Amino acid sequence: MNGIRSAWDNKWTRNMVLGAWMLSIVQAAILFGIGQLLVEDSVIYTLVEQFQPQLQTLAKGLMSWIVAHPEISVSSTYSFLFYFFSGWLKFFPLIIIALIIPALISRDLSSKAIIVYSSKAVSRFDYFLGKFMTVFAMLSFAWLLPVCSAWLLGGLLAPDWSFLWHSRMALVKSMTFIGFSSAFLSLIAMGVSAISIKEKSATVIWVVMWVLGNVASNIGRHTEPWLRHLSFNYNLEQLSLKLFHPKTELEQLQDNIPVIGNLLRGIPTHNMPMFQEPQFNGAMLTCGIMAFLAILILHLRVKPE
Amino acid sequence: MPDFVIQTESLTKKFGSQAALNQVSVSVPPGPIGLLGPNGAGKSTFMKCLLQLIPTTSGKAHLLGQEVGRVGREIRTRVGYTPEQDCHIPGMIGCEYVTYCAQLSGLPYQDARQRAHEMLDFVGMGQERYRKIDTYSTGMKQRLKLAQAIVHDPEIVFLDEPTNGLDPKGREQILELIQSLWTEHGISIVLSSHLLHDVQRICDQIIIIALGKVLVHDTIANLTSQRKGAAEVVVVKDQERLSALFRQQGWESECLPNGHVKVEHASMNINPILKVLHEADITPIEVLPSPNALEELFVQALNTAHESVS
Repeated sequence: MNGIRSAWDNKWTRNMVLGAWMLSIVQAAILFGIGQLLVEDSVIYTLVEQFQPQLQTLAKGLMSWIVAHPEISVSSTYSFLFYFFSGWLKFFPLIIIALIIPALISRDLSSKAIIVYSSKAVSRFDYFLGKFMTVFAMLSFAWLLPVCSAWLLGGLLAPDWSFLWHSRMALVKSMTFIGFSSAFLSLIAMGVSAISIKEKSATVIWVVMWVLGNVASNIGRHTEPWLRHLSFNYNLEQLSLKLFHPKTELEQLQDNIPVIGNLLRGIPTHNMPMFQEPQFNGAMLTCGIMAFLAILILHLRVKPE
Repeated sequence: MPDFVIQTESLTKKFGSQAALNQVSVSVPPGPIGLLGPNGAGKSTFMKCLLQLIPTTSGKAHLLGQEVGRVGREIRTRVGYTPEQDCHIPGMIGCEYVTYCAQLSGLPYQDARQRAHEMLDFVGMGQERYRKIDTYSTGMKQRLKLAQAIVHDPEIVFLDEPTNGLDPKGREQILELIQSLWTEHGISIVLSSHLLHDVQRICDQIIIIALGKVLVHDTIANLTSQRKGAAEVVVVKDQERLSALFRQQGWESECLPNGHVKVEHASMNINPILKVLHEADITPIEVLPSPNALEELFVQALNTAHESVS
């Protein structure tokens, strides 16, 4: 709790958490809008009434299809939305880590507080677990909880609570992705924080890792594919693709939505990374190597002497 | 409380090829114990090995009857430690820090908070306990270190150079507090210091460590009694004459740079010295029996150790 309180004391951390929650409200509003497609006297229907007759037919056809096949329409729509929002929200945790990383382990090493921890009834494992939970909890505030809240709010505001049921897989996928990512990023953050006893250096190392990883990933896109795995962002993106599989969802929509399905076929999926096959094994292997290095750094660096 | 708070058997700690502790075997009963030795002698290493802050190379050690290395968490709930260097968590408020340390020792929050305030009262910290530690003076930090070490009511507390950086007044206050740990609370003390006065003031027994070995382990009373035949006589004038008179008695004597006359005689008390003074009609200002017994013993032990190495 002490670590969480200390992290929360930082104004910028609070702002980042607030930013994440604002985005989750936007997500909930969009989910609310989708739900309104099923309500005959909703604002959306009123809007559709003002369309040209051809568009009216098209929109009403779509709405009828949504009503008739909620298991596909709600599930796929939510899946897409949660794929995007889970990815966008990742920005906030990455910034939060940059803000809290100096106080994580670097400060304990520079102030020698690690000696006090070691002399109390706290094992090394307890110490690491405490630090891990601090980062994980902060990431959950800014990532997992907003997404879960958006799902719950979207479901509760929907005309039919069956939305909660039909969208369950989107939530499970989001939770799996965010849970794994938060755990992985927490471990990496601890490792980075243990590299240097200078607090500012920890932040610099984290930001450099983040930026250089993205640069390497972009270079790798056009040259050596393995370079892309140097970015933890890219690796997590592959996990997200594996879980949400937007390509499959799109194909399902293309095959099932009347009229609009044909329009969706026009999307140039071969150019868009989100519709490519995920490099899942490579991503998981790299994540494993990164996690191993972080543990090794913690083992070697975090000692009372 | 076990018969011996510390027991070691051939305890050895090596850093590379350098032995910081070399086959140390001691059995220490409860009470205030002084750990003496020059810088780099192995005092801190000895304490850290017992506290399991660093792994031992070989040998066995028991702390409070429990084998070191086998039960870490359980021992630490019964032990307090103030490291030599500052080791506070930056940005924390004094009472929060002590409360947090109590929680780390396993106390629930409410109990920890109450104990923290009691200990801060005990070490004499007033309203400054509500300030950030970063703003504390050296004296306050030493007090805070002491408070965090005893907040969970340990049976033994290890104090590594607790008077470092303190002015004479602050030093006296800290020493009084430390002394009261044993006299009033029954907490055994292991006081590591290179300041002989501090150890002599507080401890009943001492362990002199040098070159990673225990050179002396005995009670201060025993050690000083072995050197009762030494004294320093403070006189206003006639120092040379007095020294010559002592030498005539067959005793070793010399005039010290501070004007005192040092004499080593065979008797267990200072009566023979007073007799000489009376016969020579010299009025002493003060006669100090064995004033530097511990220091001399310390130097002698070190010399012996160095000779045995060379």
